[in-house]
Amino acid sequence: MSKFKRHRLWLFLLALALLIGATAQPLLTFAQQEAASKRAHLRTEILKNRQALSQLQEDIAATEKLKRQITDKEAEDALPPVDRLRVAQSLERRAVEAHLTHLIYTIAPEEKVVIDTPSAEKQNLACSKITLNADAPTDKDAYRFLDSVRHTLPGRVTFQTLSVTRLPTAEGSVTASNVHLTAEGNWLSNGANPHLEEKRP
Amino acid sequence: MRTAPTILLVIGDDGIATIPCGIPDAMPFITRTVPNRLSEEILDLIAAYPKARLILCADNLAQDYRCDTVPRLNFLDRARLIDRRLKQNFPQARLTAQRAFRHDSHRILLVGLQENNPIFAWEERLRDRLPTLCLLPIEGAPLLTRLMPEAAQSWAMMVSRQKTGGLRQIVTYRGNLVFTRLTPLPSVGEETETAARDIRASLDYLTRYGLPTSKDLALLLLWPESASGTTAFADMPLRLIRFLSPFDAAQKLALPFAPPPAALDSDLLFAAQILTRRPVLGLMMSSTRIQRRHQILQFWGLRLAVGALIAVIGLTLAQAGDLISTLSKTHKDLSALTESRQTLAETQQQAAPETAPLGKLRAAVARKHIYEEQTPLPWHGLRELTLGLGKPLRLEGVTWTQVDSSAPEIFTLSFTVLTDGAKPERADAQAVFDTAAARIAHAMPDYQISVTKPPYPARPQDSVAPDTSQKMDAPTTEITLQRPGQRGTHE
Repeated sequence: MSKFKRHRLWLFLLALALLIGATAQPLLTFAQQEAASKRAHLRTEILKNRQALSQLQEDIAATEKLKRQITDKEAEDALPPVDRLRVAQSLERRAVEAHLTHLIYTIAPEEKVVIDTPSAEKQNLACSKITLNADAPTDKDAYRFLDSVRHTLPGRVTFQTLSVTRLPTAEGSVTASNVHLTAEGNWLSNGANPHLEEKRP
Repeated sequence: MRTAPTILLVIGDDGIATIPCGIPDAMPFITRTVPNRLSEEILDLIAAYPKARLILCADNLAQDYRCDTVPRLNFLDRARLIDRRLKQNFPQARLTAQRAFRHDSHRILLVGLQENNPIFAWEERLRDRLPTLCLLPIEGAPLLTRLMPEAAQSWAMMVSRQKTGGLRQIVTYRGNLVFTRLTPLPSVGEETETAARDIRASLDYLTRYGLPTSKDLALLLLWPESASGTTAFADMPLRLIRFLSPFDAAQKLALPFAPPPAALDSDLLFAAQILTRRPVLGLMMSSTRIQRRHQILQFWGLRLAVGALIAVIGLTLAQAGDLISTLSKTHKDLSALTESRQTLAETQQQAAPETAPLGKLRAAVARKHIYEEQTPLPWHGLRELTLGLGKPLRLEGVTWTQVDSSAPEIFTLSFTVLTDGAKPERADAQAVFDTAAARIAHAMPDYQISVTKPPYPARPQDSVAPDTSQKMDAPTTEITLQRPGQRGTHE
C-alpha cells in the first residue's frame, strides 16, 4: 500500500487524462458535427434565399420587359375562355355582312391541345374543327366571309380546305346564290372550359 | 567525463576514498575505516548533495571470484545453471553476480560478496539514494588493456598501491579478469620486492587458471620505476615488466583528473577510470533494485501522465476552439440568414404588385405569339390565278387544300370553254384551252400545272370516238396547280 502511495499522483493524472480523453473528446466531436451540420443547413438556406432574391429580381425585370410587349388589357383579353355561342352568333353576323345565304356551320367539340412555348409554361389550348357551308352572290363575297371569320374568331383559325363552286343559274343573271362555299379548318382557342384537361376522363 | 554530480566511495579494508565528481566545491579525500562506524564526514558530504548519484566500489578482501565454464545452453537453462553455480561457489554470499568473458561466452566470471563486506553497511545506510555497487578489480581490469596493449592478447598482471586496501593484483587473460588478490600495503620503497613476492605466490594460482609459465605473463607496476629496481624479478623471468606512475597512467589515458605526479597510490587513477565510464558490472541489492524500479516507474510514470494530460487537454482545447469557431460562424450565418430572409420578404412585399401578373403576362404573350402565327391561306394563289384567267374560259369551281404549312398547296380548277353560242369545234376548243392553260401557268410560275381533265379526249390514255352529241353544252376542263409547302403562302 505504501508503495502504491508513491504512484498515486501520476496514476491519478493518468486516469484524469484518460477520463478527459474518453469523455470530452466524443462529446466535443459530437458537438462539432452537430454545429457543422447546422451551419451547413444555414448555408443552404442562405443560398436558397439568395437564389430566390435573384429570381425575384429577374421576375421584376421580366415583368417590366413583358409590360412593354403587351398591355394589361391585351393580357386580360388573351386569357379568358371563349363563349362558343357568342362565336356562333358572330359567325352568323359575319355571314350576313358578307351577303351569304343558307349558312350551315359546325363547330366540333373541343379537343385539348398542349403547345410548348419557349418563354412560358406549356399552354393548354382547345382545338375545334370548324365546317362552313353557304351560298354567296359572288366568290369575292365568299372569300371576304372567310377572311372575316379568321379575324373575328378569338384565337387562330387555320383553313385547310375551301371550295367555291358556281351554281347553275340563268346565263348572265346574278342572284343571291351564284356560288356555293365549302370550307373546313381548325379553330385554336383558349377553349370554353379552362379546366378542360382536368375534367376529361 | 560525467557531468551529473556523482560521489564515488571506494571502500577498502583500511580506508574509504571519497571522490566527488561534478561538484565544484568538494575535493577527494581518504578517511580511515573505523569498525562498525560510518564516517560522519562522508555522510555529511553525501547529505549535502542529495541529487548526486552514488557509486560504492568495493576494494576489500570480502569478495570472491571464480572462473567457470558453462556449456552451450538456451537462455533460460543458462541462467538457471549460472544461478546454481553461484550458489554452489558462494553459499554464504550476500550478493552474487556473473559476467561472461569477452570473445568467449562459455567462460564466465562468478563474483560473490561476503556478508561481512563493509560495502553493505554503506549500502543499507544510503539505500534511499539508490547507490550503484561495483567491484574495483572488475572496473579496474580495463585499465590494464588500455595501458598495456599486449594484455589484449595474452596473460597480463597489473599491480597497484591502493591506500584504501593494500597492494592489488589484477590478472587478465585476453582482457578478461581471471584473478585478483589484495595483500597488505607495503612500505614505501619496498613495493617492487613485495610485489615480486606476492606475484611469486600467485603464480601457483595462475597455473591452475591456465597460465603456462611465468614467461607468458606481462607485468605492469603502477608506480615509478625509480622507486625500486627490477632486480626483485631476477629469478622470475616474465614476458615483460613495465613501470608506470599513476600520474603518467592518468595522463596517458587522458583522464579528467589524476593523482599528483609524485603519488604512489592509484586510488584516484581507478576512481577516474570508474567515473569516466559506465560500470562494467553495476550491482544493486534486490531491495534497492525494487526501490529503484519504483523510482523509475514514478519518474517516467509522472512524466507520461503529465504528458498525456497535457496532450489530452491540448487536444480538447483545440477541439473546443474549433467548436467555438464553428458556433461563432454558425451564429454569423444565422444572422445572415435572418437578414436575407428579411430582405427577401421586403423585396417580395415591394415587388408583389409588380410581379403578380408575371404568369398572366407570360401566358398572354405566349398565346398571342401562338395565335399570331401565320397559317396557310389561298389568297396569294388566287390573286395570281385572277391575273391568268380571262375569256374564253369561265371558272366553274375552285378547290384549295393545304393541310399545314409543310404540306403542298393544291388548287383544283374547273373551267368552261366559252364560245359564241354554236358548238365549238374540237380543235378550236382545245386550242383555246391550251392557250388559257399556258396563260395560267405563266401567271402562276411557282405552281406546277397539270391537266386532270382536258376539254376533249386528247391525251394518250383517253379513248377517242366521234362526237355524236347534239347538246350545245360547252366543253369543261379541269387543271390542278400544286406548289410545295413551306413557302410564302401565308398572309
